[in-house]
Amino acid sequence: MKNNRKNRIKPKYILVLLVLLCVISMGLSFIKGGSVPAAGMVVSSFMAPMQEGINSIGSFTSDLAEKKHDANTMEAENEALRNEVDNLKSKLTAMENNLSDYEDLLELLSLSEKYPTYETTGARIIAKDPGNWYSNFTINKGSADGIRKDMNVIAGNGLVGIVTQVNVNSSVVRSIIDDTSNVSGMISKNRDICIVNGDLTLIDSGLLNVELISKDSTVVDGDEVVTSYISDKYLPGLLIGYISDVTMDDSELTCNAKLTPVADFQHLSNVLVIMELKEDMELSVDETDSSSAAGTDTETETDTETEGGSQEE
Amino acid sequence: MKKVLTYGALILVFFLLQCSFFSHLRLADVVPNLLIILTASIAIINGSLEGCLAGFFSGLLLDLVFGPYIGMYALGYLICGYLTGIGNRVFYKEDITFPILMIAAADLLYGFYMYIFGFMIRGRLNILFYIRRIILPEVVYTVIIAIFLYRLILMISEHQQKKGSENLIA
Repeated sequence: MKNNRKNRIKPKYILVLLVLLCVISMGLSFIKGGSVPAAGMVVSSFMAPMQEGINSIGSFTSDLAEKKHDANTMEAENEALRNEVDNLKSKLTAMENNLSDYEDLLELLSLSEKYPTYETTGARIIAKDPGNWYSNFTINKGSADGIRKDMNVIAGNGLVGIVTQVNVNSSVVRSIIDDTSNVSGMISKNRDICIVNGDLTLIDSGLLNVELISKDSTVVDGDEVVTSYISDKYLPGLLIGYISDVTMDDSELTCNAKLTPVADFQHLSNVLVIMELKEDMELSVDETDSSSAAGTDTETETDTETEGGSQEE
Repeated sequence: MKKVLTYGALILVFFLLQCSFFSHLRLADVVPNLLIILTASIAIINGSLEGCLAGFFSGLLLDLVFGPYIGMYALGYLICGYLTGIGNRVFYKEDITFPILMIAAADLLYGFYMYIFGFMIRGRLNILFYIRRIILPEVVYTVIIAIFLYRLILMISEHQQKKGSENLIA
C-alpha cells in the first residue's frame, strides 16, 4: 500500500521512458541490420544450459504421451514395415547394380561434383520461438563448436533453415517455413530460378510458397527444388522440397507454386549444421575457377557439339 | 528489493517454461503465452508501474535471446503491462474472473500488436486468418493456463508482501 501511494504519479513517466528506449533500440538494431549486441549473447549463453534442461523434461513428457498413444498402432505398423523391408531389400540389390553403373557414367561425365557433400555437425533443438508468429528455434551448439552466422541447417536430407544469431553455446536458427524467410531456389530439372517463401497462412498444410518462376518454365507437379547457385547465403544443391499446384501469377509474367518441404518440421528435434559458409566457398571457388574455367568450358562445348551431332543423325 | 528478486526469478522461470517446455505441449498447434500471464498478473496485483517493468524485462529477455530487433517484444509486453495495470483499481484478491478477463484482453492486445508490427507491415493483410488461426487459439489456451498460474502468482506475491511488511515492522 505504501509503495502504491508513493508511486501514484510515476507509471506514466516510466511508460514513456521505456517506450522511447524500446523504439530507439529497435531503430538502432534495424540500422545495424538486425545484429544482436553483446548483451544478447551473454544472456543467451546463460540461458542455454537451463533451456536444455527444461527442454529435456518437456520432450520426456511429450514422448510419454505419444508412447501411450502409439503402442496400439505400433504392432500393426511393425508387421507392415517388415513386409516393406523385405520388399525394399530386393529392390535395393537391383538398385545397387544400377548405382554402380550410374557412378561409372558420372565419372565419365565428371559430374560427381554437382552435389558436393558438406561437412556437418549434429545439434539438438533446445527451445522454440516463444509464441506462434515466428518459426525460429535455438540449437545447443554455438561459436564454441565452430558455428557461425549464416551457416545452413539441414535435417533428413532437406533444408531446414539458416543460423541467424550465434552465442557461445547456442545459436538461433530461422527455419524456411518462417514467414520472413526467403530462399533462392532452383528447379533442379531445368535450372529455373525461383524464390521459396515461408507463409504463416500455409502453416496447417505444411507448404511453402514458390514465386517468380519464369513464365516459360516447363515446371510440373513433383519437380525437385534445390537451393540455387546465385544465393549468397545458402549453399548450392541442398534439397528443399517438391513442387505442387503450379499457377500463373496475376501479373501473367511469372508462375507461382506451392512446395512440400522434405524436412519434417512437425517433429524436428535434431538437426545437422553444415560447417561451411557460402562466402568462404565463393572465395575458394574464385581461386580455383581461374585455373580450371578454361578446361571445363571446352569440355562442355565439345559435349554439346557431340549431342547436337547425334541428334542430327 | 525482495520483490524485484522474486519477480525476476518468476520471469526467468516462465520464460524457460514457455520456450522449452510448452513448445512440446502444443494444443491446436499454438503455444500459450506464459509471459503475458505473468506480466498481466503482476500488473493487476501491483499496478501499472510494476506491470510496465515486468513487461519490459520479460520482453527484453525474449528480444535478447530470439529477436533480431531489440525492443520489439519489449514494447509489446510493456504496453500490455501498463494497460492491464489500470485494472489494479478494481482489484480484489478474492475475485478471479476479472483478472482472467484482463489476462485474456492483454493477450488479445499482444496478438494484434504482433500482427500489426510483424505481419501487416510486410503486406500480409489476411487479418481474419491470423485472428482465427493464431490470435484466438492462443488467447483460449493462455486463459486455460492462466486459471492455474494466476492463483500461483497471487499466492507468491501475497506471501512475499506479508514477509515484506513483517520486515518493516521488525
